[in-house]
Amino acid sequence: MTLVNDGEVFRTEIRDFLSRAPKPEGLRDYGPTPTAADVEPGRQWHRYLADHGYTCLHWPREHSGADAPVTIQAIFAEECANAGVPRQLNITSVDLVGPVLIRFGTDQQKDRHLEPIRLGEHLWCQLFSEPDAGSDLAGVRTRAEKTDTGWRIDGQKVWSSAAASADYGVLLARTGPEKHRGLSMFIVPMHIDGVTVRPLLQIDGESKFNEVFFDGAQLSDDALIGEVGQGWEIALLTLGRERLTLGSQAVGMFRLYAQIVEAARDRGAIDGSLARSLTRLWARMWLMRYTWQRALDAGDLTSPAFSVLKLMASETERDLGDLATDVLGIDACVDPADNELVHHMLVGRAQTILGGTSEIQRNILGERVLGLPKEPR
Amino acid sequence: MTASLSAAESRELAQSVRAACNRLAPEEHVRAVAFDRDGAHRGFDPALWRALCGQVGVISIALPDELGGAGYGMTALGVVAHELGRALAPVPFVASVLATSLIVQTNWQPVAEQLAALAAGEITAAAAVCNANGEWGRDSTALTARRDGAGWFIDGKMRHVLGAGAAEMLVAVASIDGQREIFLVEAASDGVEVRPERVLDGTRPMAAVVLRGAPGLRLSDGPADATIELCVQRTLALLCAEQVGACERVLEIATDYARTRQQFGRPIGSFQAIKHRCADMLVDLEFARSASQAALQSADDDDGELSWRASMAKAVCSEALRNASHSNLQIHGGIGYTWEDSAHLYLKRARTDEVLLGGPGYHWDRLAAEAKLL
Repeated sequence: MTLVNDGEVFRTEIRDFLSRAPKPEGLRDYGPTPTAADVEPGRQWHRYLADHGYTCLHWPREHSGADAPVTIQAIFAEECANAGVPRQLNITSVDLVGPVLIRFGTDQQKDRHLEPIRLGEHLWCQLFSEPDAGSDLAGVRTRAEKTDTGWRIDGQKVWSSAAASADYGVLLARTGPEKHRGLSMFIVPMHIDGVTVRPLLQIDGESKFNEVFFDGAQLSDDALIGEVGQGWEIALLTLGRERLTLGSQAVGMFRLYAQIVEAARDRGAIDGSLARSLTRLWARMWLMRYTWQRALDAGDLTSPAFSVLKLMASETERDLGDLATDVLGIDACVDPADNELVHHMLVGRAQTILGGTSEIQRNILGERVLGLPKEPR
Repeated sequence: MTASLSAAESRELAQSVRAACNRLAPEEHVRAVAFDRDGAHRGFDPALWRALCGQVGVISIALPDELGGAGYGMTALGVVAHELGRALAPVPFVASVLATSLIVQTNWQPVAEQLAALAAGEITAAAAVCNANGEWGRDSTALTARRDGAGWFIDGKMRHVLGAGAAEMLVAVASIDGQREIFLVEAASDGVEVRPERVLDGTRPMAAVVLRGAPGLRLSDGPADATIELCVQRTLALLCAEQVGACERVLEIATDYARTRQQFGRPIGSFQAIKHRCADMLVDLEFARSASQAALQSADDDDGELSWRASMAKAVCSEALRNASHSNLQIHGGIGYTWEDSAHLYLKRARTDEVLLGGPGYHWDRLAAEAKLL
């Protein structure tokens, strides 16, 4: 009960803080990952949040975090979405790399990297997926070979968000033949020789993800995180964290929904059939948000309510993007740069792929929640 | 002001209802009571109902203190409903809740004795609140009331009245000069004809009710639209909790089968075609659980949100249970189409619950209207 009360007090406090905070020029709610143009305003904004104690809420106090429960993190995410600002420079640095270093890093690695992440000085990217290791992530082939002074890296990564702007990356690479035990995790400075980043142009014209090529890049011995062979275990820790704040997406969805209804009214397009489609989708958004709240209140991070959130959120977001263009009629054919609703139709296609495809999500629900047997591999 | 159950108390209540259902309403008993092939079934097990009312207090739990109830709210009743739904318990829970809540919301003092008998499970009541076809609508009623001397007399007929076949009392919504009011009619009175119907789901027995100048006790003291609406919405929230319980059980049955049934040398649940279907059932179930809980919570909080939440819940839970019961049957293959398998019991429950008190289409449109889209 006190938690809920504290939560509401915190909500008021943070709403007040966000409304008064000076916004750097060019700042927009760019989502979990900034484009190249978003990085500078994003960094300034992150620094302002950090100076007021609002970054790295889930980190332990000894690393200048707030040791905040999930409810508080969730409220913060939602209020940022409400205010139309990002809640941090990018998700990889604070939410994925931070906890990995805190759990598996050496004292030296923590001292060197955590504070610059907290202050937004260093932007990190994830170097996990490869052209031949997407859904089957453990199939990575990028090699890390032991040398006298450290490690030599050769191979190729892909879908690395913000790699072109990143100062560091966490790299999942092969150090042995066994599928899972042959993987290790490394820290890679992105500007060393032998690392080449090539931005990929997305279907919506933006460029958030990248290809990264390794051609004999040299890492020192202290680049290894944890033990040799511990890479898969570390990678798993980073997956699934996003569910904690997924419900905050509902804020953006409701905003888009309002735009869709307005566009439909402007065109006189609302008939019984469209009204029912809109209502169904509104209900799914509302229930996604409520399910998230229900899971948070129950406090069990392994509950089915938490497990279904990623699938609920991404498919609802996809369908919202599709409905956005359904109301436009003939205007669905215009340049996405000129019409936000058309842009959302395109972005919707990404939702069911990024962060684990819907097909992989269904496997996870079937196997880990419902206890169905694994498929033959 | 309703008292609320702690999480531990909710679990305890759920366990006691589940234990009673496991003991007194296993599947073979449900079949004997509701799906007897000789057609002699009544769809209602008085002994089970008395046990649930007497030992667990499934009706009295939500009655106010002054009526000898526990004063707990709809969320507590929702816990009961969930378990009854899982078991497809052949008891007149939904009908009784609607009938008793209509009585409690009016001048119940003259019928306090009957109310106590209802809560104890000694007698049952059915509510006649729909149009002549048995369809729920905001303004519908098929019955009219007229005054003659000191008494009121009711005329009209209504199909598909849930639980009316076994009910000793009927709570009837009848109009006086076009205004709907609430009456109590003894089923044994002159002028009352109750004809049990042949139904799809034997655990949801229904009857056609024909009233020809049947004497009725007027419980309301003026137009009762708001009261009727409130009672129906609360009943919808509970019906949804039953649907969620049934949906949860159907998913268990489907995954149990998918884990054990072998084809091509391995369990069929290892194939994505089956596994993904089960995952979709899980997502639908969690959506439905949220919808039902949100409606029950609003009923207790009296926060003015119950109307739209009840409609949303009815639409979402109906569709979830319908889809789950279809998927379960499909996953079972040929065996799922046999009388011996339980798949059809849940399918028939799903298709019946779906159309009671308004189908998904009706409730989606109501929700659209609340959002000013229609």
